[in-house]
Amino acid sequence: MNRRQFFKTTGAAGITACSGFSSLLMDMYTFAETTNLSKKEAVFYKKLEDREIECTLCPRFCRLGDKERGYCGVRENIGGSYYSLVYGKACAVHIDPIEKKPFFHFHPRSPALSLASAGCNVNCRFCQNWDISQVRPEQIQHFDFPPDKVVQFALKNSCPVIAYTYSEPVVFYEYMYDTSILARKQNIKNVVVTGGHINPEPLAKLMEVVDGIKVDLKSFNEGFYSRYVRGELHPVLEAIKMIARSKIWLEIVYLVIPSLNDSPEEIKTMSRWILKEVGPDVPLHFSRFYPMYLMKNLPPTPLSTLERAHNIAVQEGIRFVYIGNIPGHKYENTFCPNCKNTIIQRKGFSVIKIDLDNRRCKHCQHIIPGVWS
Amino acid sequence: MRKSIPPFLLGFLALSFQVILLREFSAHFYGNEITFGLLLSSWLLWGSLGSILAKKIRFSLHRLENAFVVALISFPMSLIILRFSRYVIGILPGEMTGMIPIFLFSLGLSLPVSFPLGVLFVFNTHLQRGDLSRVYILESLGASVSGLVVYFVFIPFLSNWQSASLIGVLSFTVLFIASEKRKLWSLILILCFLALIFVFDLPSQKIYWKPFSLIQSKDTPYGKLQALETEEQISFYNNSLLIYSYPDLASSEESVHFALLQNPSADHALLIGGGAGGSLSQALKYPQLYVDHVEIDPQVIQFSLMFLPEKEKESFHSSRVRIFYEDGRVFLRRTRKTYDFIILNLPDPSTAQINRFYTKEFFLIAREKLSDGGIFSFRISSAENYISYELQSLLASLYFTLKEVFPEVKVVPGGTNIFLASSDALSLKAEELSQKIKKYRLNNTFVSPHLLMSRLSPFRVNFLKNRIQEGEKIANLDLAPISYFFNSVLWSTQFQGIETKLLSFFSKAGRFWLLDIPLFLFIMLLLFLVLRTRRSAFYLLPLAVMGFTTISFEIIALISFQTFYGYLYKRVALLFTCFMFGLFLGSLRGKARNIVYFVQIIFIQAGFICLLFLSLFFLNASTPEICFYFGLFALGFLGGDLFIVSNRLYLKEKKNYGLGYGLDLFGSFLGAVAVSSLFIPLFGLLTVLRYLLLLNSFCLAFLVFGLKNVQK
Repeated sequence: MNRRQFFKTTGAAGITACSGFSSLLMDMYTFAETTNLSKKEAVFYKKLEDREIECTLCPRFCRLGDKERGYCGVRENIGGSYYSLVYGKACAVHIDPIEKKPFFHFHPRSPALSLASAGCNVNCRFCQNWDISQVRPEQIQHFDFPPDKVVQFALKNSCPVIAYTYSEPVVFYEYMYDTSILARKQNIKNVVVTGGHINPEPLAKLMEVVDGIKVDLKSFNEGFYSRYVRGELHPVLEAIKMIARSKIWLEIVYLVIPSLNDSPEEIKTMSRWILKEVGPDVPLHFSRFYPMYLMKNLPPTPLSTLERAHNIAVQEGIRFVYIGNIPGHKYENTFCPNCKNTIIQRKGFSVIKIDLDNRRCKHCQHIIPGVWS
Repeated sequence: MRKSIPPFLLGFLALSFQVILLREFSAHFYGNEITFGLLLSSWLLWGSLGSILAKKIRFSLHRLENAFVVALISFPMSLIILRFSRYVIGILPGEMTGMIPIFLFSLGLSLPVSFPLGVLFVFNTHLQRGDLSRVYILESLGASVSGLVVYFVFIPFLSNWQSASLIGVLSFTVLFIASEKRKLWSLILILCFLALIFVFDLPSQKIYWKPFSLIQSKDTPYGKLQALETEEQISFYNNSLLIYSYPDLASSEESVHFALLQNPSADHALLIGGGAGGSLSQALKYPQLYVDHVEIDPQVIQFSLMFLPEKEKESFHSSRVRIFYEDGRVFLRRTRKTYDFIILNLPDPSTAQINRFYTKEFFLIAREKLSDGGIFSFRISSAENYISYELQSLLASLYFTLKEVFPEVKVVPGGTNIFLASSDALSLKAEELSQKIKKYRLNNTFVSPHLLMSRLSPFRVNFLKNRIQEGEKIANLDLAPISYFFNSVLWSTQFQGIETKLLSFFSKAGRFWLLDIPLFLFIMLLLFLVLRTRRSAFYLLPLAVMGFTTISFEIIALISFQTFYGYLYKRVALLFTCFMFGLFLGSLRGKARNIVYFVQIIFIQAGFICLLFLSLFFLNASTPEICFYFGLFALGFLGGDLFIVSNRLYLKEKKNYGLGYGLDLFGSFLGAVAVSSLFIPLFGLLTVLRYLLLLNSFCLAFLVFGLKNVQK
């Protein structure tokens, strides 16, 4: 073999190897096209010029060209129309006690069929379900679970409630909406567990078909929202005000993260805002942070921090303040604001006793706000 | 200046700086194989480039001194930048960052230290008037002495910053005495700076952890232990990873109760790791239970006891508890006792070091030490609501490995999965476990009837079981530790960046693309070089192959040694020292040869092949310990000899002092990048050894082909 022949041979072998390798690399990026995603036209968006669209579902107002996806990763502009890719595509389905969501004043002891699709419109650094919320639908295993099947499944498993939860239900809005309509017809309640990043118009329409909404208020500080949530506080507060003014049952959860959102001043300001804009009867849960996702190495929340937050909120006038993720703590229980007796005793996700009689405290007949039966 | 001092100092500094920077880097960036590999390869890359590019810099004695000063000042500066790296990246203490920032930091931090050290090798050769052999011998001697001092004095007794400071003080003093142009004020200035480094170790860590309150820190041979105080709660960290918080009932209860509730009346348990986090006191809730607790690092318990309340300390002094400071695997193998429970309370298999507690071989030892119907258990971080493909691979590898040893395996769902294994039937029925909790009056908070109903709902138990059983059946073995690769892939998915795609791609690429094709390209390179008939290639190529082989062999030897004999700090340090001492004696041998011939390279290369062949043949659990010391000594000896012979031959052709050294380091760089984080977990130690043997055999064939060309 002379030098020329050598180069010819090695060159050919090299090209073959490179093409094989690059085809393998291509595989890495084209798996999306091999997966089975849905194509349901979105309800909230505006068509713009040149096949562009603007998503009007959440405060991000993503403006997208053809074949582009929104921040949530589950909605795509296809030829100038906007589609949800996760309609009827569930990735997590479980039956949880409703106390786990948590809803404390909404059908206690009810098993809730809990449902999620992929995607989220924010990126919390401490997300508990990051493996479904921070991925695109083609990256995860999902299965066909259309609205009618969801309702049938709930009926079959005696679930009086369907909870849209785990990831961010706002991003699978159409799926949630259609399922809720069908569920209502079967006398099944619908509850939404959300971060509250939703625009007023879609929220108003959603509130026509659901019964309860739990909002995760992650902080009362815009800086925190921008740094650790990659979102904004203002639209969340607007959503909370809107829900509070409606007939939909509202509960608020505040995940207390040590040193980041646990200052007494922040808790006090938030409590005052809730009192003024929502009223004293909204259940407010201070949940213990447990290290998760990108904040896996932060310390968990000490109990005393949670108790301090609880006391501040109570002092400010909020009547139903709870401590979450500490099973057996006395502030898991519901106390009558009038006679101070324990009216609902809980331990973990179990309800030990309910001293309510037709929405009234058994001891003093005071009306306890909630959706009780 | 005495001519022998600078090369000795170079060897001393190169090794000590590398070891300390690696330790400190691991302490900041999670201490897994990937981050370790990134820093080591960056270090070797810059050293290689430094020695290759040094020919562009004109030598003078003054420049040699300056290069030392640059390396000596840069090192503590790198440590300072590393300590405050989170401000540069813009993250909180305890917040994870992706591999791209880690990669950039590894490149940036090693550049100002390793590059001048590479240049210094060439400058030293100029200083010795071209006697490269002398430089290499003195450098190896410096590294050997440094190994002894660092591993047996600095690391056990000083923190990383304190060690860096002392090394700086000693080196500057030596340079000052040896230098002809002495500037006392500059020495005083530098010494003051180094004294500040010594003193400000703890205060700077306190700044790092703000807004949290760091109350204590201690560097131990096994990592950096730190304690944080948040109100009444103390959180303990090792290498910036949260080991446990106190009180944290959720974690301490689930670590033991799921196993103990299977047979609450049994009376002997072995708890490996994690006792100080509350697991020990939880186990003592069973009044008849005797617990043997094994913890590898005595300092973890001593450190924890400084801050734990009296109630928790009491469990360590209970008459029902015996504490053993020993490697868990070594303890289990040597003990003659059998246990009703063996409970692993260790971190996830994120490194080869920890993975050896999750292999089939370890499970077999555990089974042997369990009484009839005894229960083995461990915990793995998981996800409650969804099992991703990556998590499925990890869980399935552990599940199927357990299944090969135990007929009955059950997995508790939740944010943490508890694996239970036994030869008898196990129960995950909430009602049954709840009844036992009531019967034994266990005052539990999390493993309690009120939470078990939800956690152990048949729906969740079956969901998890199905997802795991749908996964690929791959066993995690001592010599093919696949689970730690799956764990690395899972870890990378958190960042959703290029690292996730790369690792996922590598896991699918297979042996053909990752081993066969590179080997084929290497053979093509050899053919090209044979046809090119340039003599220097025959002298230099074996150096790059040697660099690659030695680092890969060292990693394989260390992983298998730890797997078979446990992580015994002093013995692992001795292994390193054996290699370096071999390097020193090998280079002496190379210099002692009166005349060097090309055929000597062929014989040394054949020596590498013999060593690899013997290793392949003898590497198993019954390999006597002495073989590891001897193997690494022989590897060093061959490496040192080859380096000198090859360079002596090459330098007859061309006076490029840095090229051989640079190629040696470049080969090591390639090995460091790929072997520990990718090849070993994906293909196993023996396969990697086989490919090393092939690589060296082709290199030998190339040399034999070259014999005619060289002798022309």
